[in-house]
Amino acid sequence: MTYNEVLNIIILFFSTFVLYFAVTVMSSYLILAAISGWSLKSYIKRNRFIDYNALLALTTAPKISLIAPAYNEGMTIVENVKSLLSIDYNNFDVIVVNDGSKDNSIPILIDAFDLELSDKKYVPIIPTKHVKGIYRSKNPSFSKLIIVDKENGGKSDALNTGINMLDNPYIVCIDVDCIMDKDVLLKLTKPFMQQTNKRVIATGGVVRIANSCIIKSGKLVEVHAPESLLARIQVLEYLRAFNLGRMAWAKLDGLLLISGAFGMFDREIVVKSGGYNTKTVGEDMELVVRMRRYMIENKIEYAVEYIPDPLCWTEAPESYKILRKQRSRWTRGTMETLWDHRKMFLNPKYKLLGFLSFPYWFLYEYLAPIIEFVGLLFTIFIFFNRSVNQWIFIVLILLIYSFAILFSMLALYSEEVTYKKYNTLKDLRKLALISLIEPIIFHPFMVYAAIIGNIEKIKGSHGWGDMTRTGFKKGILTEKIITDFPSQEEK
Amino acid sequence: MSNLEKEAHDFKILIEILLFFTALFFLIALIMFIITYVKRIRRIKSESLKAEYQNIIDNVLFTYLFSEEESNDTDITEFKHNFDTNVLFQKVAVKAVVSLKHNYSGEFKTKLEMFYVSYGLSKYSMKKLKSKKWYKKIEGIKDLSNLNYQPAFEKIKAYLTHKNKLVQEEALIAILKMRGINELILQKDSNIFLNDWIQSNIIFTIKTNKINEVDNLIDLLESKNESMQLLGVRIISYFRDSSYLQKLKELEKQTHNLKLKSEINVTVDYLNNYYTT
Repeated sequence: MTYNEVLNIIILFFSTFVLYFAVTVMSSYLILAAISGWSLKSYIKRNRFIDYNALLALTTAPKISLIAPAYNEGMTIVENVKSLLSIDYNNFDVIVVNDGSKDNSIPILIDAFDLELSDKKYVPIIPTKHVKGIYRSKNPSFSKLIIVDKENGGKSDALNTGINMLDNPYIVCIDVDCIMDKDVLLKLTKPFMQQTNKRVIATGGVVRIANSCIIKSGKLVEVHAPESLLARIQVLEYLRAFNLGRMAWAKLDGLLLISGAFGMFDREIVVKSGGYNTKTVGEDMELVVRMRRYMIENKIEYAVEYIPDPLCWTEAPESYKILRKQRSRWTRGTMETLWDHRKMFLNPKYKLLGFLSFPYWFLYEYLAPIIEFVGLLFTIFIFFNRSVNQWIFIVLILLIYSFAILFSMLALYSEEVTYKKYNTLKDLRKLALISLIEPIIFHPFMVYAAIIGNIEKIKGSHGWGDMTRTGFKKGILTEKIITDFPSQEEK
Repeated sequence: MSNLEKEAHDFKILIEILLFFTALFFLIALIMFIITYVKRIRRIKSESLKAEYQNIIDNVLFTYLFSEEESNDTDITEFKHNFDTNVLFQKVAVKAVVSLKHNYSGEFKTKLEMFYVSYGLSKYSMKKLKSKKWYKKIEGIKDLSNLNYQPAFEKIKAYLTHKNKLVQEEALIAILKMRGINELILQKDSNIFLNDWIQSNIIFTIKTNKINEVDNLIDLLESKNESMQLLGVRIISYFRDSSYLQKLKELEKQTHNLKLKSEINVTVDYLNNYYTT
C-alpha cells in the first residue's frame, strides 16, 4: 500500500466520522430548536394573561432567602444591595455574603445600611469557612437585609454560608452584580406554588447580556445590541442557548444546568444533597445534577422547572483574555461534573438523564470542541498534502458555516416572535451581520478556550481567574473592576 | 465502471449532496432573516398605530367620562368605523377601557361599563368568548368580567367545567369578580384543585375589586375539598374576621393536612395578635 493510499483511507475514515458527527450535531440542534419553539409558544400562550402581582396578595407566600455572594464588590455593592431589596415580593430576606473581600466592602455596607453586629448564632449545617460576623441593620427599612462577613472560601462556600443562615424553605442564589427584573421572585416562585404530586426542587431562567443597555436605579430600561463585537456575538450565543436549547431540555425533563447567575431551589433538598460543591468551578451544574440524583436515588417524584422569560441581565466579557478564562473555566466545570457523576452515564436507573442528557453533554458539549480541534489540525495537514482530495473538508466547513448562520437566524426569529426585547431595525441588522462573522472568529476561539480548559484541568488548576468588567451604563457610564472569586491556590 | 471510477462517482454525489444542503441552509437563513426583518417593521408600525388609535380612543372616552357635552360626531364615527373594521383598534379600545376601569371607582367605573356596552365593545369580547381557541376564551372572560358585563355571567359560569384547566380557573375568578364570594362558596364541593397560585389570584381579586365579605364563609371551611378549606382560611385571614376563631381551632384539630394545619395556626395567631394589639 502506498503512502497516498493509506492517507486516503485515513481521510475517508475521518471525514466519514466528522460528517456523521456534524450531521448528528445539526440534527440534534434542529430537534431541540423545534421542541423549544413549540414549548416557548405554549408557555407564552399560557402565561400571557398572568398578573404576577397577584402573588403579593398572599401574606403566606413561600419564604425565600435571596443569597448574593460578594467578593471585592465595594465599588458597586451599595447600589446592588439596594436593587435587591427593592425586588417585588412579600416574604424574603436578602443575605449578602462577603467572602473575605480584600477591599472595603464591609465598612461601606456598615455605613450605607446602618449595620450592627447581630448576636445570631451561625449553625453550619453545611460545613463552611469561618464566619467572622453577622450584621443586621438598625434601620427598620432594611430589616430584610443580613450581611455575613466570612473568611474567603470561594463562591460555593459563600453560597453554602447563605444557605446555612436561615431556614426559609426556598433559596434564590444570584450573582450580586446581575440586574434582576423586579418581578424575578414572583416568576421564579410560581412553579413552586403550582406543584402538585411532583415536588419542584429548582427553577431557573434566562440570562441575557446587558452590555450597552441602559440601566437606571438598578433597573433595565432600554435594551440595545452591544457596541462591542465580542459582547454582541455573545448575545447571539445566549439567544441560541436559552431560546433554542434549554427550553427543550426543560420540556424533556433533562435540564442539567440552572445558570449560576440566578436560580431558585428547595432548601431542604439542597441541604440533604450536601449544598454546593466547593471543589468544582462548575458548582451551578453540579448542584442541579446532584439534587436530581438525590431525588431519583430516594425515589421521590420531582420536577426542575425552567422559566423562559428574560429576568436576569449580566455583563458579558468584552476582551478575549477574560472570555478565554471564563470559557476555559466552564469547560473545567463541565468535565468535573461529568466525571463526578459518571455513574449516571447510560445508567437506566437515571432514565432520560442517564440516556440522553449525560451522553449529549459528553458528546456535544465536552467532546465537540476536541473533535473540531483535531479536525482542524487534520484539515491543515491535508492542505499540505495536495495529492489527496481535500474538497470534502472545504465543503464540510461550508456546510457547517451555513448551518451556524441558519441557527443564529432561527435564534433571532425566536426572539422576535417571543420576548421582543430588541426593538430597532438597527439592532436586528447588527445581530444578523455578526452572525456571519461569528462562526469564523468566535467559534474557533471557543474551541481554543475549551482546549485550554482541558489542559488546565489536566494540569490540576482549580482557579476562577480574574474578570475585569467595564460596568453597566447606569445613567452615567461607570468603570469598575470586579475580581471574580479566586481559588485558594490563586490566593 | 471500475472501482476507482465508482468511488469518484460516489464522492461526486456526496459533494453534491453536501453542497445542496449548504445552499439550502443559506437560503433558509436568508428567508428567516427576511421574515424577522418584516416582522420587526410590522411591530414598529403597529406600535405607532397603537399610539395613534389610543389618541382617537382617548378623545371619545374622556369626553364620554368627563365632559357634559357629547363627543362630536366625527370622533364617534371615526371610533365606530375603526372599531368595526380594525382588529388592532378593537384590542386597543378594550384594553384602554379595562385599564381605565382599574384606576377609577364609583360613578366613573359605572360610566366605563356603560361605554363598554353602548359602543359595542362588549360584542367584541363576547365573540372571543365563543372562540374555539382556549386563550381567546380567556381573553373574553377577562374583558367581560373586568367590565362586569352581567349578560355574560351564565356563559362564563358554564366554563367552570371546561376541559382546559386555565379556562376553568379564569371562569372561577370571573364569577367571583361579577357576583362576589357567594359564587365561590357555591363551588365548595367541586373537585377543582386550587393550588397556591390560584388561591393568591383569588385573594388578589377580592382585594383589588374590593369584594365584600359574606356571612357564610364557614361553608368553605366545611367543604370536602381541602383546597377550598385552605382558601376559606385565607379569606378569613384577609378579612381579619375573628368570629371564625373557634371554628378554625376545631378544623385544626380535625384535619390531617399539614399545610392546612399550618395555615390555620398562622391565621389564628395573626387574628389573636391583631385584636389584642
